[in-house]
Amino acid sequence: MTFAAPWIFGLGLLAVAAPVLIHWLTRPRPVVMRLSTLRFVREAVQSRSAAHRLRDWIILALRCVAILLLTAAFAGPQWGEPPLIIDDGGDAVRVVVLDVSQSMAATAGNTPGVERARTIAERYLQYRSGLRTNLIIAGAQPHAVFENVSTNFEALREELSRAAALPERMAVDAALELAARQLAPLDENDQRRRELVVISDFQRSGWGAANFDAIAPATKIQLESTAAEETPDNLAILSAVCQPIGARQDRVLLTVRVGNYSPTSRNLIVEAEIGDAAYRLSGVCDPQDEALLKQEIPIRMTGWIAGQVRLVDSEDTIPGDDWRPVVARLRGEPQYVLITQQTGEGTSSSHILAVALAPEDDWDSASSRLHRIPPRLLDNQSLTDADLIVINDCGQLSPEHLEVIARQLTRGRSLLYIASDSIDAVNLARLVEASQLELAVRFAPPAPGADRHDLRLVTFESPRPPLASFGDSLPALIEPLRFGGGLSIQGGSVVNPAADDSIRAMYSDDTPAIVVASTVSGGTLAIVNADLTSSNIWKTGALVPILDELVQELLATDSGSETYLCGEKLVAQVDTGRAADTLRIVRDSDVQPATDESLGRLLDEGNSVLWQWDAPDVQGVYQIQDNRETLFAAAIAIPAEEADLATLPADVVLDRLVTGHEVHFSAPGASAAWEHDLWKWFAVGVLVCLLAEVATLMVFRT
Amino acid sequence: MTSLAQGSRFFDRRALSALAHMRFTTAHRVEGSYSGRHKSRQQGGAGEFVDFREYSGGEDLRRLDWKLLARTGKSFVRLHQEETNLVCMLAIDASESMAFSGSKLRTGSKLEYAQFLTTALSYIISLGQDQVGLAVLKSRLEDHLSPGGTSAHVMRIMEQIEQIKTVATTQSAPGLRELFERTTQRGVLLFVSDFLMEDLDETFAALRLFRHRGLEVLTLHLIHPEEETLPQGSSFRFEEMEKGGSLSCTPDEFRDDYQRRFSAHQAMVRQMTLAAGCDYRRISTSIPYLESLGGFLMERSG
Repeated sequence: MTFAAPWIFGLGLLAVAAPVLIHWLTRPRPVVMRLSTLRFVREAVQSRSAAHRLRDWIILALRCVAILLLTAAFAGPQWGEPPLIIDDGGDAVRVVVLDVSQSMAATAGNTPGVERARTIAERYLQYRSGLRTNLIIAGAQPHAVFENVSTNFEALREELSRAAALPERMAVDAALELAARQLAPLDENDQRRRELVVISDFQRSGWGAANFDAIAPATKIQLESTAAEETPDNLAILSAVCQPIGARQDRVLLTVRVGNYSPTSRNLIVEAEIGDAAYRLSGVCDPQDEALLKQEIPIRMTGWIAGQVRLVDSEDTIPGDDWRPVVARLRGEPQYVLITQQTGEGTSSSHILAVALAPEDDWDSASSRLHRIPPRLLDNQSLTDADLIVINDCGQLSPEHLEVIARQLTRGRSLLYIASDSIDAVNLARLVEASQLELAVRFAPPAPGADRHDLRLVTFESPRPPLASFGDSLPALIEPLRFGGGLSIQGGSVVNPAADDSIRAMYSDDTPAIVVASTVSGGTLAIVNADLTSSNIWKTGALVPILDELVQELLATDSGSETYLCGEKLVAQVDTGRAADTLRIVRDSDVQPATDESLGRLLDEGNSVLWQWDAPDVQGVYQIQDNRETLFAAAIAIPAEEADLATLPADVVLDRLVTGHEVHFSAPGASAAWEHDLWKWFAVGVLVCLLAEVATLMVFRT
Repeated sequence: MTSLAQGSRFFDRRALSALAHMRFTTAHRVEGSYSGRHKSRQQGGAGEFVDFREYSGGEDLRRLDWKLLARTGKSFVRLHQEETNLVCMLAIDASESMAFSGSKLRTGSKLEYAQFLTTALSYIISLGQDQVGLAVLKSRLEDHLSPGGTSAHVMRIMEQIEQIKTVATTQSAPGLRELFERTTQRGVLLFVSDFLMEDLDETFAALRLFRHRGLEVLTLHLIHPEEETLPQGSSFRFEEMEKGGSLSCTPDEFRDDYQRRFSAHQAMVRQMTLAAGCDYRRISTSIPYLESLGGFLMERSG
């Protein structure tokens, strides 16, 4: 404990002498008298004087203590380290960064963290001459209340009173950069003192890599932690995914990832409502660990399905992350577009391919799942309804056509390329370049005179998809297979094919047989390096299962079940030929669509519609509908990292994160928490002493 | 008695004239040197006839009732109650505690009160043709005057009473025992004291000796009002009167406790007095001595 004016204690010591002096001066002058019955007086005094002597000492002590306490109160008692930012006058620029992420909803002693943060922030938003401040509400997209620092403290406090924890994470670096801009000097002559106040729980997941370098070195940084002394227990659903499975996609695999951020093992019960049905998943999650709960759910419909998963009986500090929305798109039987210049008549490679992809199809029917498109008719519209684009014997594709295909690839569409002819090497090279795909090998036309036939399929020690699913029967399956045609690669052979997962199978001449590569956006390109007519695979019956496995992998990447995060900008492209103004966005089961842009806006973009939403603010399922028909659904959820409420220790924050600044870290539970209004307690102590004196007198009087 | 007109300063004839008609009497049989008003312990041939008693050999034949012998043939002697004068010994406690006079100057000490009282009592006794003696008890017996009935003797007693000075002593028993040894006649012992001596048990043991010898013992317990309640005031330094030492205190803090203790002491003195077969009378010095004496004599006269 320190004192603002310790010299007052000198006066205090003199003041302590006052009651002693008063006691001595007011002591009655005794009357001397000879008494014959002094022995009775002695007896009475012996029984009473001890108590009265005790009373006198107690009263004298109480008076002395009262004087000392009064002195201490005047001396300005202070406890703990003084804060870095003290309103001691002078021109100053102060920016208060208020964390409003989901973790700030965690309660400690029935008080949410954001409420404690508001109380702290209000201290720094009090008017003082020469002080200019601004408040940054720091969520996923931090924003300042005013464009520049202001003296309108009332408006700042009003905005502060409206601040609440949002179901989103805090963009720490963005908030600090915004604060740095607010604190930046106006010019070279701007010598105002700069103060940055960060009020947060300093969650480990959010602040672990925070960077204060943007803040000017002369800035004083006051870090105010609102975290509870002990990390609150929390149980949360971190992710929920419905993955369509099976070639016919008549069921989904529901995978729920639950995090247990408590020191004890927890039994988990998760209720899932998918469509109109409810399911129950259960399991056990170890302390400070995650658990995966999986269940296959049969679905009797196609299109978009929506639902939610919810933890049952999980009493924890953040109820908001105990449930999570989930969506999935079941396309049913996949639709293929086969780009080829062949007509399909006879035993052409395209015919073999068509039969292998859709063996039950009626080729003459209009409802056929496979549509042939000659390269000259290729455009965006022709590819809209295709789940998988297949290219076989298409000749040399024009740059425009390659651009169309590459765009589909970059949008997440999958492509199966049967490379049988030398020109395919050119097409592939341009396609890879246009789609910015990183391919492990560069195909090249076979060398002149090189005869590619009777090539055997060579698998790796651990077979890779699509051959991995055949298990022990794989050797028997591929033994009779002989391949011909296809492309060579630049350099002649692959140096170390086992080290590259994109190469799924090799030929006996060390050229790749099957290569699968994905774009950043999720589109997948699978290359089958063979001429089907020169190979006997279609005669052995192995083509159908191998292609089926490959197609399942290609289509699995296009499940449409992407989860979007609250507070973060949402951009989704909906492939539909309909106009944006005919579509509506609805939330969950709301019948009435939003009339304004509170749920984002829909924009026409060619043959698709672009859904843009700057800051989704509520967790749930959102759908784009056209006359009750769902064209797209998105599950918007709380970021999983907000569930882990572990915070950074003060020394980590001070030593690793914030370097090169004058910084102070205050934690509410820390013993060194700054207390400067202790004089009130000393004043109470004085009052207590006086009351105790009265009580003592009354007690001894009776 | 004219010579008593020039008595001590404690003798006020005019004030005592109101009590002149009263006599100091006793219900006990006493031994006196002369005939008087009081019943004697002896039953001789003179005086009022009281009874017959069968004659036994060796008795004085002069007291034989010849007429009765003649009528009945049996020999009886006649018994007559003799009357004699009273021998009263005034024993005054002259310990230092008797000098306590309180905090107010206008009030006298207990000794002065005792001096007034015994002076008046000796005068009253002498008026009844009885003998009165004086014993001043300090650490031992001092100023002992054997009982006498002459005016000169009474005047001498008054003078001795006037000259009494207190001494610092806490014992009365040695003086009483010495007095007992000098006492030859069975009369009345009147012991005036504040009973604040430390040898209270020995004192009463000595008084019991008197009782065993057949003397009537009267104890007058003198109490100063400020001894009962302590003086009023915030702070006092009380000094021991007999043993030295002092004590500074505030009487208000323990007044009730003190009063309880002093009352218990009074009750104990009274109890011990009665247990020793003595008469007890509590006399507060706040009451004029004439009033106290009148009440005392009235009570004794029955």
